[in-house]
Amino acid sequence: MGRMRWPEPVDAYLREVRHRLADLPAGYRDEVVSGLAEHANDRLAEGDDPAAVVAALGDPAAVARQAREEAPAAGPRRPSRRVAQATALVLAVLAAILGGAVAWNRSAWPPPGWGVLLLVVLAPILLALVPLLVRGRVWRPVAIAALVLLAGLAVWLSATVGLLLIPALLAALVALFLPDRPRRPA
Amino acid sequence: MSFERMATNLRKGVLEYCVLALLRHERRYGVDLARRLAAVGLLTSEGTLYPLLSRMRGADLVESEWVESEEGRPRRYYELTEAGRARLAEFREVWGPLRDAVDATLREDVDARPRED
Repeated sequence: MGRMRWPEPVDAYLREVRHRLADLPAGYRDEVVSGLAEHANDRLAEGDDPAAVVAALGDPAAVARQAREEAPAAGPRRPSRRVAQATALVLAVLAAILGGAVAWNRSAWPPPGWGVLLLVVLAPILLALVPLLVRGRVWRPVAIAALVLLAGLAVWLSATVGLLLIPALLAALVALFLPDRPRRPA
Repeated sequence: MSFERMATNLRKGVLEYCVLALLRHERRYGVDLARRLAAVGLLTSEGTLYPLLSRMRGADLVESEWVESEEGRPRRYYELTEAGRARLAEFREVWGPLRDAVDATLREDVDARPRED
Protein backbone atom coordinates (compact mmCIF):
# COMPACT_ATOMS: atom_id res chain seq x y z
CA MET A 1 0.00 0.00 0.00
CA GLY A 2 1.34 3.38 -0.91
CA ARG A 3 4.52 1.88 -2.34
CA MET A 4 4.44 2.26 -6.09
CA ARG A 5 7.81 0.73 -6.93
CA TRP A 6 8.88 -2.58 -5.51
CA PRO A 7 12.38 -3.98 -5.51
CA GLU A 8 12.57 -6.30 -8.51
CA PRO A 9 12.42 -9.67 -6.66
CA VAL A 10 9.30 -8.58 -4.74
CA ASP A 11 7.67 -7.15 -7.84
CA ALA A 12 8.35 -10.34 -9.81
CA TYR A 13 6.98 -12.45 -6.96
CA LEU A 14 3.72 -10.50 -6.70
CA ARG A 15 3.30 -10.59 -10.48
CA GLU A 16 3.83 -14.33 -10.55
CA VAL A 17 1.25 -15.01 -7.83
CA ARG A 18 -1.22 -12.68 -9.54
CA HIS A 19 -0.63 -14.44 -12.84
CA ARG A 20 -1.16 -17.89 -11.30
CA LEU A 21 -4.47 -16.74 -9.81
CA ALA A 22 -5.67 -15.07 -13.02
CA ASP A 23 -8.79 -17.22 -13.24
CA LEU A 24 -9.98 -16.61 -9.66
CA PRO A 25 -12.48 -13.86 -8.78
CA ALA A 26 -10.71 -10.49 -8.99
CA GLY A 27 -11.79 -9.37 -5.52
CA TYR A 28 -10.33 -12.43 -3.86
CA ARG A 29 -7.14 -12.34 -5.96
CA ASP A 30 -6.59 -8.67 -5.09
CA GLU A 31 -7.11 -9.42 -1.42
CA VAL A 32 -4.52 -12.22 -1.40
CA VAL A 33 -1.98 -10.25 -3.43
CA SER A 34 -2.41 -7.12 -1.31
CA GLY A 35 -1.90 -9.25 1.80
CA LEU A 36 1.40 -10.43 0.35
CA ALA A 37 2.30 -6.88 -0.73
CA GLU A 38 1.59 -5.48 2.74
CA HIS A 39 3.71 -8.24 4.25
CA ALA A 40 6.61 -7.45 1.90
CA ASN A 41 6.20 -3.73 2.57
CA ASP A 42 6.39 -4.23 6.35
CA ARG A 43 9.39 -6.54 6.09
CA LEU A 44 11.24 -4.14 3.81
CA ALA A 45 10.43 -1.27 6.16
CA GLU A 46 11.92 -3.32 8.98
CA GLY A 47 15.14 -3.48 7.02
CA ASP A 48 14.90 -6.95 5.53
CA ASP A 49 16.63 -7.72 2.25
CA PRO A 50 14.21 -8.08 -0.74
CA ALA A 51 15.64 -11.49 -1.65
CA ALA A 52 15.18 -12.70 1.93
CA VAL A 53 11.61 -11.37 2.01
CA VAL A 54 10.77 -13.31 -1.16
CA ALA A 55 12.51 -16.45 0.08
CA ALA A 56 10.52 -16.38 3.34
CA LEU A 57 7.24 -15.92 1.46
CA GLY A 58 7.92 -19.31 -0.11
CA ASP A 59 7.30 -20.91 -3.48
CA PRO A 60 4.75 -18.79 -5.44
CA ALA A 61 3.25 -22.06 -6.70
CA ALA A 62 2.61 -23.16 -3.10
CA VAL A 63 1.00 -19.82 -2.27
CA ALA A 64 -1.17 -20.05 -5.40
CA ARG A 65 -2.16 -23.63 -4.52
CA GLN A 66 -3.13 -22.56 -1.03
CA ALA A 67 -5.09 -19.63 -2.47
CA ARG A 68 -7.04 -22.02 -4.71
CA GLU A 69 -7.88 -24.23 -1.76
CA GLU A 70 -9.06 -21.28 0.30
CA ALA A 71 -10.91 -19.53 -2.54
CA PRO A 72 -14.54 -18.78 -1.79
CA ALA A 73 -16.79 -21.26 -3.60
CA ALA A 74 -18.98 -19.77 -6.29
CA GLY A 75 -22.62 -19.71 -5.43
CA PRO A 76 -25.41 -17.57 -4.09
CA ARG A 77 -24.06 -14.66 -2.14
CA ARG A 78 -25.61 -12.49 0.46
CA PRO A 79 -25.25 -8.82 -0.39
CA SER A 80 -22.68 -7.09 1.74
CA ARG A 81 -23.55 -4.46 4.31
CA ARG A 82 -22.10 -1.80 2.01
CA VAL A 83 -24.88 -2.48 -0.48
CA ALA A 84 -27.50 -2.09 2.25
CA GLN A 85 -25.82 1.10 3.49
CA ALA A 86 -25.65 2.56 0.00
CA THR A 87 -29.35 1.71 -0.41
CA ALA A 88 -30.10 3.46 2.89
CA LEU A 89 -28.23 6.53 1.64
CA VAL A 90 -30.18 6.64 -1.65
CA LEU A 91 -33.47 6.24 0.24
CA ALA A 92 -32.44 8.96 2.72
CA VAL A 93 -31.61 11.34 -0.13
CA LEU A 94 -34.99 10.64 -1.73
CA ALA A 95 -36.72 11.17 1.64
CA ALA A 96 -34.79 14.40 2.13
CA ILE A 97 -35.79 15.74 -1.28
CA LEU A 98 -39.43 14.79 -0.78
CA GLY A 99 -39.40 15.98 2.81
CA GLY A 100 -37.83 19.27 1.85
CA ALA A 101 -40.42 19.78 -0.85
CA VAL A 102 -43.27 18.96 1.55
CA ALA A 103 -41.90 21.21 4.28
CA TRP A 104 -41.50 24.03 1.79
CA ASN A 105 -44.99 23.50 0.41
CA ARG A 106 -46.73 23.28 3.79
CA SER A 107 -45.57 26.52 5.16
CA ALA A 108 -46.20 28.23 1.86
CA TRP A 109 -45.44 31.59 3.40
CA PRO A 110 -43.21 32.44 5.15
CA PRO A 111 -40.80 29.78 3.83
CA PRO A 112 -39.45 27.33 6.45
CA GLY A 113 -36.39 28.48 8.32
CA TRP A 114 -32.89 27.13 7.80
CA GLY A 115 -33.26 25.04 10.95
CA VAL A 116 -36.16 23.09 9.46
CA LEU A 117 -34.38 22.52 6.18
CA LEU A 118 -31.28 21.42 8.02
CA LEU A 119 -33.29 18.94 10.05
CA VAL A 120 -35.44 17.61 7.22
CA VAL A 121 -32.92 17.61 4.38
CA LEU A 122 -29.36 17.57 5.68
CA ALA A 123 -29.68 15.45 8.83
CA PRO A 124 -31.08 12.29 7.19
CA ILE A 125 -28.46 12.41 4.44
CA LEU A 126 -25.60 12.85 6.89
CA LEU A 127 -26.89 10.12 9.21
CA ALA A 128 -27.08 7.68 6.29
CA LEU A 129 -23.72 8.78 4.89
CA VAL A 130 -21.58 8.55 8.03
CA PRO A 131 -21.77 4.72 8.50
CA LEU A 132 -20.74 4.34 4.87
CA LEU A 133 -17.54 6.31 5.50
CA VAL A 134 -16.43 4.42 8.61
CA ARG A 135 -14.73 1.01 8.61
CA GLY A 136 -13.23 -1.39 11.10
CA ARG A 137 -14.07 -1.68 14.77
CA VAL A 138 -15.81 1.65 15.12
CA TRP A 139 -18.27 0.81 12.36
CA ARG A 140 -20.85 -0.96 14.51
CA PRO A 141 -21.14 1.66 17.29
CA VAL A 142 -21.22 4.46 14.70
CA ALA A 143 -23.84 2.67 12.59
CA ILE A 144 -26.01 2.00 15.64
CA ALA A 145 -25.72 5.60 16.85
CA ALA A 146 -26.63 6.91 13.39
CA LEU A 147 -29.58 4.52 13.20
CA VAL A 148 -30.88 5.61 16.61
CA LEU A 149 -30.54 9.30 15.68
CA LEU A 150 -32.27 8.68 12.35
CA ALA A 151 -35.09 6.82 14.13
CA GLY A 152 -35.35 9.67 16.65
CA LEU A 153 -35.60 12.14 13.78
CA ALA A 154 -38.32 10.06 12.13
CA VAL A 155 -40.33 9.96 15.39
CA TRP A 156 -39.81 13.65 16.03
CA LEU A 157 -40.99 14.55 12.54
CA SER A 158 -43.68 11.87 12.52
CA ALA A 159 -46.43 14.49 12.41
CA THR A 160 -45.14 15.68 9.04
CA VAL A 161 -42.40 14.02 6.98
CA GLY A 162 -41.02 11.46 9.44
CA LEU A 163 -42.71 8.54 7.69
CA LEU A 164 -40.64 9.21 4.57
CA LEU A 165 -37.56 8.08 6.49
CA ILE A 166 -38.88 4.59 7.18
CA PRO A 167 -37.42 2.92 4.03
CA ALA A 168 -33.97 4.36 4.77
CA LEU A 169 -34.31 3.24 8.40
CA LEU A 170 -35.11 -0.31 7.33
CA ALA A 171 -32.13 -0.47 4.96
CA ALA A 172 -29.80 0.86 7.67
CA LEU A 173 -31.20 -1.71 10.10
CA VAL A 174 -30.64 -4.55 7.63
CA ALA A 175 -27.03 -3.42 7.13
CA LEU A 176 -26.31 -4.13 10.80
CA PHE A 177 -26.95 -7.83 10.22
CA LEU A 178 -24.95 -8.32 7.03
CA PRO A 179 -21.27 -9.25 6.75
CA ASP A 180 -18.90 -6.50 5.60
CA ARG A 181 -18.09 -8.35 2.41
CA PRO A 182 -20.13 -10.63 0.18
CA ARG A 183 -19.99 -14.26 1.23
CA ARG A 184 -21.96 -17.42 0.89
CA PRO A 185 -24.68 -18.01 3.44
CA ALA A 186 -23.28 -20.05 6.34
CA MET B 1 4.59 -39.66 1.24
CA SER B 2 7.64 -37.71 2.27
CA PHE B 3 8.22 -36.50 5.80
CA GLU B 4 7.88 -32.86 4.73
CA ARG B 5 4.65 -33.49 2.87
CA MET B 6 3.16 -35.33 5.83
CA ALA B 7 4.07 -32.47 8.16
CA THR B 8 2.62 -29.93 5.71
CA ASN B 9 -0.67 -31.77 5.50
CA LEU B 10 -1.00 -32.08 9.26
CA ARG B 11 -0.10 -28.44 9.85
CA LYS B 12 -2.65 -27.31 7.29
CA GLY B 13 -5.54 -28.61 9.36
CA VAL B 14 -4.56 -26.76 12.52
CA LEU B 15 -3.00 -23.55 11.21
CA GLU B 16 -6.30 -21.71 11.17
CA TYR B 17 -6.85 -22.45 14.87
CA CYS B 18 -3.32 -21.41 15.76
CA VAL B 19 -3.98 -18.07 14.05
CA LEU B 20 -7.12 -17.69 16.15
CA ALA B 21 -5.12 -18.58 19.28
CA LEU B 22 -2.42 -15.99 18.53
CA LEU B 23 -5.11 -13.32 18.26
CA ARG B 24 -6.97 -14.23 21.44
CA HIS B 25 -5.36 -11.54 23.61
CA GLU B 26 -4.37 -8.87 21.12
CA ARG B 27 -4.60 -7.83 17.51
CA ARG B 28 -1.54 -8.51 15.37
CA TYR B 29 -0.31 -7.54 11.92
CA GLY B 30 0.50 -10.12 9.24
CA VAL B 31 4.29 -10.15 9.61
CA ASP B 32 3.95 -10.59 13.38
CA LEU B 33 1.61 -13.56 12.88
CA ALA B 34 3.87 -15.07 10.21
CA ARG B 35 6.96 -14.73 12.42
CA ARG B 36 5.37 -16.33 15.43
CA LEU B 37 3.96 -19.23 13.42
CA ALA B 38 7.25 -19.76 11.57
CA ALA B 39 9.22 -19.64 14.83
CA VAL B 40 7.38 -22.68 16.20
CA GLY B 41 7.48 -24.51 12.87
CA LEU B 42 3.79 -24.16 12.06
CA LEU B 43 4.36 -22.14 8.89
CA THR B 44 7.07 -22.84 6.33
CA SER B 45 6.01 -20.51 3.50
CA GLU B 46 4.96 -17.19 5.03
CA GLY B 47 3.02 -16.33 1.88
CA THR B 48 0.50 -19.13 2.47
CA LEU B 49 -0.76 -17.25 5.51
CA TYR B 50 -2.51 -14.63 3.36
CA PRO B 51 -4.97 -16.84 1.47
CA LEU B 52 -5.87 -18.31 4.86
CA LEU B 53 -6.41 -14.86 6.40
CA SER B 54 -8.57 -13.87 3.41
CA ARG B 55 -10.81 -16.86 3.94
CA MET B 56 -10.98 -16.27 7.68
CA ARG B 57 -12.03 -12.69 7.06
CA GLY B 58 -14.66 -13.85 4.58
CA ALA B 59 -15.96 -16.27 7.20
CA ASP B 60 -16.08 -13.44 9.80
CA LEU B 61 -13.64 -15.26 12.10
CA VAL B 62 -11.25 -12.31 12.02
CA GLU B 63 -11.56 -8.72 10.92
CA SER B 64 -8.84 -6.33 9.92
CA GLU B 65 -8.22 -2.67 10.42
CA TRP B 66 -5.51 -0.24 9.33
CA VAL B 67 -3.71 1.13 12.35
CA GLU B 68 -0.91 3.66 12.52
CA SER B 69 2.21 1.88 13.81
CA GLU B 70 4.81 3.34 16.15
CA GLU B 71 6.98 4.27 13.17
CA GLY B 72 4.04 6.20 11.72
CA ARG B 73 3.33 3.76 8.90
CA PRO B 74 -0.14 2.28 8.78
CA ARG B 75 -0.36 -1.50 9.04
CA ARG B 76 -3.27 -3.89 8.64
CA TYR B 77 -4.01 -5.47 12.00
CA TYR B 78 -6.08 -8.61 12.36
CA GLU B 79 -8.30 -9.30 15.33
CA LEU B 80 -10.75 -11.93 16.49
CA THR B 81 -14.48 -11.52 16.00
CA GLU B 82 -16.96 -13.07 18.41
CA ALA B 83 -17.40 -15.92 15.92
CA GLY B 84 -13.62 -16.41 15.86
CA ARG B 85 -13.49 -16.57 19.64
CA ALA B 86 -16.28 -19.16 19.66
CA ARG B 87 -14.49 -21.21 16.98
CA LEU B 88 -11.31 -21.21 19.06
CA ALA B 89 -13.22 -22.44 22.13
CA GLU B 90 -14.69 -25.29 20.05
CA PHE B 91 -11.26 -26.22 18.75
CA ARG B 92 -9.89 -26.46 22.28
CA GLU B 93 -12.59 -28.97 23.15
CA VAL B 94 -11.85 -31.08 20.08
CA TRP B 95 -8.08 -30.83 20.16
CA GLY B 96 -7.37 -32.03 23.72
CA PRO B 97 -9.06 -35.43 23.45
CA LEU B 98 -7.82 -35.88 19.87
CA ARG B 99 -4.19 -35.23 20.81
CA ASP B 100 -4.48 -37.56 23.81
CA ALA B 101 -6.03 -40.30 21.68
CA VAL B 102 -3.28 -40.08 19.04
CA ASP B 103 -0.55 -39.98 21.68
CA ALA B 104 -2.03 -42.97 23.50
CA THR B 105 -2.28 -44.93 20.26
CA LEU B 106 1.32 -44.15 19.33
CA ARG B 107 2.70 -44.96 22.76
CA GLU B 108 4.75 -48.11 22.86
CA ASP B 109 3.92 -49.07 26.43
CA VAL B 110 1.19 -51.51 27.44
CA ASP B 111 -1.28 -48.87 28.63
CA ALA B 112 -2.77 -48.37 25.20
CA ARG B 113 -3.27 -52.07 24.56
CA PRO B 114 -6.30 -53.97 25.78
CA ARG B 115 -5.35 -55.73 28.99
CA GLU B 116 -4.85 -59.48 28.79
CA ASP B 117 -6.08 -61.25 31.94
